[in-house]
Amino acid sequence: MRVLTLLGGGLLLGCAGLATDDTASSGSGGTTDIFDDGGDDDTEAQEDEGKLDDDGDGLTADEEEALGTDPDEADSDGDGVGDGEEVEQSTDPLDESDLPYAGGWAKGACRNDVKAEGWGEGDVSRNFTMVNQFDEDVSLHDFCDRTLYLVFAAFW
Amino acid sequence: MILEIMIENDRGQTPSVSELEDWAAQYDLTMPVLADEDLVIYNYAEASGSGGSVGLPFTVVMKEGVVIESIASGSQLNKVTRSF
Repeated sequence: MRVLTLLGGGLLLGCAGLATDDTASSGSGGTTDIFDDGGDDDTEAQEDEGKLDDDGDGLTADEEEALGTDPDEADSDGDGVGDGEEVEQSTDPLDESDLPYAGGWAKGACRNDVKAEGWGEGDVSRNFTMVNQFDEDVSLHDFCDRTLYLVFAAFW
Repeated sequence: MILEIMIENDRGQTPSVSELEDWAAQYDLTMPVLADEDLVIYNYAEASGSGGSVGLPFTVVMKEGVVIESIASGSQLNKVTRSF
């Protein structure tokens, strides 16, 4: 009876050892990390860092690298408008003089690519700049990405 | 998108920013209200063959790419409606 008891205790100890070990035996005799997905841990860590937005400006580190903006500075050009908002408004986050309009009208991404022709029907209109009610200079070509209805009037 | 462009005030002068602001507030305008200090209106008028005279309202419709679709002086509303 004593022999049987000792054998049972030894078996239990062996099982406890297996339960606390997070590796499993592989068929080749070596060990395999069951949590290993087969990828390079350093590369995966870098990829994850690229998806972070440490400065909270709405742009990931990867996006900031592509733009040339500072991933640790929410407003890279110091013009008071965050980098992410500048991208959304199609202004240059690296040019402090290029600001979104106070009226909230987005600038078209095409504005620097317009090839002006003239002032007549069928022409690509020449550009003009006029001051607005917010005391900002507004350029026609800033609205190149939409249909426009210009109404010339007067105060009388 | 509409651009409201004011060519002069009641004194025949280019409207000031405060006048633009008052005009926008009075009529609750959210579009750009601009002052045509350089009288760009005459550029469009001359190109449209109006002989340098303009009727108000003077309107210009542009497609995407700021391609001029129509220029209408005064009550040429038929030209404007055709553009839409």
